Amino acid sequence: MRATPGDKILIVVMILINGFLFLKTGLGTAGDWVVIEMNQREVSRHRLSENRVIPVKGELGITEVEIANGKARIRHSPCKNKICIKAGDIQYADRLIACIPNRIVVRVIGEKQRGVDAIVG
Amino acid sequence: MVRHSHKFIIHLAIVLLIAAIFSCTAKEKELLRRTQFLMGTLVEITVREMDFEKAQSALSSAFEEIQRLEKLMSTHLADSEISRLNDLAGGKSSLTLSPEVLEVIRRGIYWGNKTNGTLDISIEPVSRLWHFDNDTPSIPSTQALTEAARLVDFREIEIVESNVRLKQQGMSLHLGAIAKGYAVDRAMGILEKNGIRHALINAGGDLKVLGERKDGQPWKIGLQHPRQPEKMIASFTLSHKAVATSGDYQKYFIKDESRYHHILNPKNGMPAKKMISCTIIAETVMDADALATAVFVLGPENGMALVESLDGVEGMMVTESGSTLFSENFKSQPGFDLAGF
Repeated sequence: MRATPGDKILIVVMILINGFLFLKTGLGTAGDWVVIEMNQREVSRHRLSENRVIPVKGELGITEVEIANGKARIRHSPCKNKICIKAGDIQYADRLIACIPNRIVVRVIGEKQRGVDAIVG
Repeated sequence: MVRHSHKFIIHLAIVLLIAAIFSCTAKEKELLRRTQFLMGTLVEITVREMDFEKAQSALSSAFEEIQRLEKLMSTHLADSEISRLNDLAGGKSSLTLSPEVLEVIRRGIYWGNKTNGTLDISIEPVSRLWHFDNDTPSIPSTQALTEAARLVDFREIEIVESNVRLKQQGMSLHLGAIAKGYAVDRAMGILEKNGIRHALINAGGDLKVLGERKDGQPWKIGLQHPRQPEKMIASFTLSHKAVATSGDYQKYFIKDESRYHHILNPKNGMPAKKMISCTIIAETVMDADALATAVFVLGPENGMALVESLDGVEGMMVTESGSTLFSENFKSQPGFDLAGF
């Protein structure tokens, strides 16, 4: 059962390819993240587990996104109707908060899910 | 011996290669999602399609259709057909409208008749008095509401072939209660025409699904709790159907411990008070959208009677006290789960 150097290289290459693809498709989204988008473009992402306040510049001004105790919310917004603030906290990967006037979307992605594809309300 | 050793290694390589291919395939099977701000909300379209290019092209076409309809029907755009029609109100001239705008107006009138004016697409004169989109919404005076309510009457919309006229000066249409739903229906039609078999469109709670999220696994929908937005009050699965919810918990303000929200009774211009949330399942989002508003205004008793009288329509209502009411087959919806108020 002696493997030639060529065999060894082949095995190592195949293991590396598998490992790469596994990490890319499986573990790449591990953990829960807060993704902030402005006009459909991601501007930043942050761990849901790290408490912080993130100012985001939108079309009307600065929206403040707060991450605290494993939840995210919009705590300040320059928009008029404040629907985004009334939307409250999000913590599951099925929810998002949108500030339509300021073109900001805050969404949670990751493993903390409730098994639904969309929330209506 | 050497030959056996090579065979083993070649077999191992094949196994690893197959694993790698499956790993790639799993990635391709993932859902593709795109969002865009349209019709005053965030429209999110998710498709399940192996062919990435085909999915992207279908998504672009669907969004273009919603954008096209918004340009025709938005009252926020001065040159939309609806804005131009409103500008002509009370005059002798009519406006020739596109087939799509006509279809929505006709359906609005249909639901106006069916609900005895509880849904009225000419509610704009009353709605604008409340300034719900401003940072200082306020309660209009009774006199102002009474005067504006006189201008709210869908029966005063005159249609002759494709020509439409608003008979009274000061009348104004707002298709908000149904145009968004119509746009979602049309966008789903575009996806289907482009060969998409599995999709979900969510336009700020106006939602339609096609096919399944995975083979043998239908799309699962959660209903937001009306008073605790981070919670779900119920969930169920949906196949080839539409769902829409009207609630008093999005556009509202509190004054003297009373909640004033944007779902207005066309008869008196005041926020409807008999329930806090109404969810309708129907064949089209346009109808689900129209009925969610109409049933909310009608209240639990009359609203439930309307829902039960319609084929293929189910409803769930939540009252101020937290009671949940269901039409006969709502709870038979596959995968139904009630978390409770």
